[in-house]
Amino acid sequence: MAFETAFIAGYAVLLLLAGEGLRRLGRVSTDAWSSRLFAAYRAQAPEPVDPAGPADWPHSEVPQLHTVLAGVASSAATLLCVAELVRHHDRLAVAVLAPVAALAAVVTGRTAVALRARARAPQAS
Amino acid sequence: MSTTSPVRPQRRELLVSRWWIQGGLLVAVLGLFGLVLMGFQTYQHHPPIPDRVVSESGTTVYTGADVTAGQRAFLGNGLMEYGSIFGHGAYLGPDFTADYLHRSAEHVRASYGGDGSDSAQQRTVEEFKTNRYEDSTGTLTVSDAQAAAFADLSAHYARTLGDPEGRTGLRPNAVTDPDEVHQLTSYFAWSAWAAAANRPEKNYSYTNNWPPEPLVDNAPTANTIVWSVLSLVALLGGTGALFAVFGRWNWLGWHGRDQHELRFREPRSVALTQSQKACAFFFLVMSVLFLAQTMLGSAAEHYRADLQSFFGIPLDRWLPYNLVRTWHVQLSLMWVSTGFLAAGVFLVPMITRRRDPKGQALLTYGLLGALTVVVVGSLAGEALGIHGKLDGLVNEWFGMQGFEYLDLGRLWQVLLTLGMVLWVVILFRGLRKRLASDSHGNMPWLFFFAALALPAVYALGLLTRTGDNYTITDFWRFMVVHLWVEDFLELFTTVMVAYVFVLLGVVRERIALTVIFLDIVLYSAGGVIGTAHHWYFNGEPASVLAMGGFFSAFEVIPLTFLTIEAWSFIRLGARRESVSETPFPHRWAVMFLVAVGFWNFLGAGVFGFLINLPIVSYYEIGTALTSNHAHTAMMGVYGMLACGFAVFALRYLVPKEQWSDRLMKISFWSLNIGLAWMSFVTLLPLGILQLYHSVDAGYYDARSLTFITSDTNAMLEWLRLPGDVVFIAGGVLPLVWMSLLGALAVLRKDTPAATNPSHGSEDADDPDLQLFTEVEHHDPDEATAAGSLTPAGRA
Ligand code: HEM
Ligand SMILES: [Fe+2]
Repeated sequence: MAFETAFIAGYAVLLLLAGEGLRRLGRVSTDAWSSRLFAAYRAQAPEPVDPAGPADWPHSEVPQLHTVLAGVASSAATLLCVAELVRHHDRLAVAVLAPVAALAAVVTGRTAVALRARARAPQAS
Repeated sequence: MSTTSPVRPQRRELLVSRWWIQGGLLVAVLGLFGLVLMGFQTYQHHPPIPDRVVSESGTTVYTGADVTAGQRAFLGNGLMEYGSIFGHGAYLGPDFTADYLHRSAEHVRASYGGDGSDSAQQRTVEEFKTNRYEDSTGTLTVSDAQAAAFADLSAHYARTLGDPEGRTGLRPNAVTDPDEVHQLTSYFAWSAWAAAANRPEKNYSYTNNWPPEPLVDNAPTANTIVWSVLSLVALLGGTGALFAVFGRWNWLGWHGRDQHELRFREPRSVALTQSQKACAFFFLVMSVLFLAQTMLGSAAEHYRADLQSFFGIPLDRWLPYNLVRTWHVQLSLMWVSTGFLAAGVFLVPMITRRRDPKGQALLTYGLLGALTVVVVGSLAGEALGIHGKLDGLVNEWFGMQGFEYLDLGRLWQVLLTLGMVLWVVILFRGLRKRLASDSHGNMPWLFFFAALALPAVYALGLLTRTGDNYTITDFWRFMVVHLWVEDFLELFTTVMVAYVFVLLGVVRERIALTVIFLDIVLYSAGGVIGTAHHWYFNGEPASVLAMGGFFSAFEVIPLTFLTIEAWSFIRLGARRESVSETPFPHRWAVMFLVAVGFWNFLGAGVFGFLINLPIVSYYEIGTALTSNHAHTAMMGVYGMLACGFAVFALRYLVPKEQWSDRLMKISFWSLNIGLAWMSFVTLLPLGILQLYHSVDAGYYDARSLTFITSDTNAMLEWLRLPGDVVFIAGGVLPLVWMSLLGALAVLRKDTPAATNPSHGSEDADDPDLQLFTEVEHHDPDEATAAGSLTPAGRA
């Protein structure tokens, strides 16, 4: 297998992992009170002052940035693999690249669906 | 707090503990001390330029005057925007230090028997590593083989730099004067000598053995490796320590229960002063320059993807790569600065809630005029310089001074500095009354000091002189490229952002102040001495490498930390919004700030640290990973911020019925998606490949056109196209449109003015200028809130 092919496949996997990380980050509550940084403080004062709900702006949109950028990562991975398949399509290259490309495409599709669902949900505030 | 009587008002008390000021000053002084210390080292230990270089058989190869003239020719012809020297400059052409070193070493080895011969290899290494410079006579002796290589390489550079066909990225016949070719070759030869010859009494070269080059046995030094490890430890330890402390003490006092209710004023009901209206034209200029910068970027990119043709048009005849890149780089600083200057002017009346002093608007238009003159004049001068129409001092003063990022002629550099001074004067006139009534440690003064620092630090760049030893020029150049950009602009930004939040009523002034002081402490600790992460291999001694490697690691900590802070700001803002009955008017401006937080972390923090360890930089400097970091940090942080400021101000300037949140939404997403695409699809994978190639096949090879224009690279370069289109068409054009609407509204006089005669003057508070109204306010914890290092348990 060409070095280039192996590299692109590996890099695409890396992008998918990074995208997954971003997506998780997108799901973490962005409320200051649940931040780990305030753990010590929370131990002392367990009652937060009117915590922001996940639907309060901009909490509703901050995760969106993460999710969209995760989508950029997975579509980048898809495109890179497809482009590489055009350049190298010996049997081994196809065996390695095609599954990664398919996975990346599925992830991209699911991200798009999730984003559309979020956009359709009633906007907070 | 209303000042009704014009008699000398009482100064407001400092809102935070004095410890913050004393601590901040102490750390700042220590940081500065480190910087000055490194300055001394620079002047004492830079590689010497020999008066004369002679061969063993006694002929003069080149002189010190040739080297200096060569550096001038290098800069004046825009070669630092084509290739690089000591790793610094542009990335399309070769690194001329590594290029000369590799080619001459190959030549010498061939003359002793070549590839197959061990003794030839050994003799080559010995010749290059042995330092035969004699300080007392100023003479450097080289072998006859090295002298022959010099002659050979003169011919090589005459051929490549003066190619009548062009197609190298330079204009056709760029350098044809034989004297100039000789001087350039001398300059490259000197840099290659410094890169290989051991420092007196040391077993490594003047450049800490950079570039990696097996032919002359250049490999990482012990310092490079050890300080990389320590730098990593510093990062991990520093972050851990800070977070531990932060988790333990409630520094910022989030528990201050603000129960006030806000009512945001509809932007168009906020009165604008004449100077604020003038800002509309600044933002128009800003967005047009932004558009120009991105189009030039695409042209520069085209040279990388397809050096041979520009859709059949001989672009290199008029717009050679180095001119396109010079403009691209200069404009990036200029449009961002235009946005920042305007934002400063725009904020002043909101801070003071006073009308303009007399003549303020006139001065603001004067500043805009001056800025336009500098932009147009400097860009035109750079074109004339690169096209060879200006010579010597004329070129240096009016045309192409040629240091990367300080490309503009010295005259324009001086004018730009003076422009910033004028800007500070404008801010001071506006703030004067307010400053008089406030403690020197409170926000109005910090805002003023942060602004004052901008021209002061930028002016240090004037000490970069084309005729100085390269190492010395680099010391001063990075006062602008690092210290000004990464530290003082970052400080000014923090102050501005914090202030905007305070003015909007979403953050308490005291909390904002604490964050600013924390910022000063953290940046002075890491960022100032961290400037040396650009000086690992440019002729500075190993001690500077050590300081740079160690301290720049701390630079990443505030990025992580302040990002989290910025987010908490926004979170607080959200809470406040939920108690306002009127909608929060700055949705997209705040979203741009959210993006700043993200890119600060990824572009500056992660991608910056990725190339920051001396051992990584050793192989990486001047490759696509630098480009990856530069774009994600510069555009991601300062670009997004300038856009955020523009959107914030335009919200007040553009008539309500013309304002489009939808367009701003498109712009926001397009800029972020386009930038991420550029990094993920092209710059990051390209950079990883190039780094791998550099370690594997050598730095010379990784920077060669053969590698840069290989199929793999060409594929990656072409794939970025869709992202660039999204960025420009979806991201930049809506901003141009919106700022055009703002400027037109001002021209039509369709902007709300402070008209109520019973309200305000320069001397008194004008409620028309306030951004929100507080309905109810009781704050039981006020006295114990932020500011002191109160352990949480006691608070
Ligand atoms: C907002 C913050 C930052 C901005 C705007 C920024 C911008 C830049 C730019 C434009 C360059 C390219 C200079 C050139 O081409 O000569 C650069 C280089 C560099 N930056 Fe940053 N940077 C930031 C933060 C950081 C941080 C936090 C680090 C790591 C601690 C870092 C490490 C580096 C290094 C090592 C280089 C040199 C690479 C080379 O010369 O090849 N930067 N930066
Ligand atoms: Fe830097």
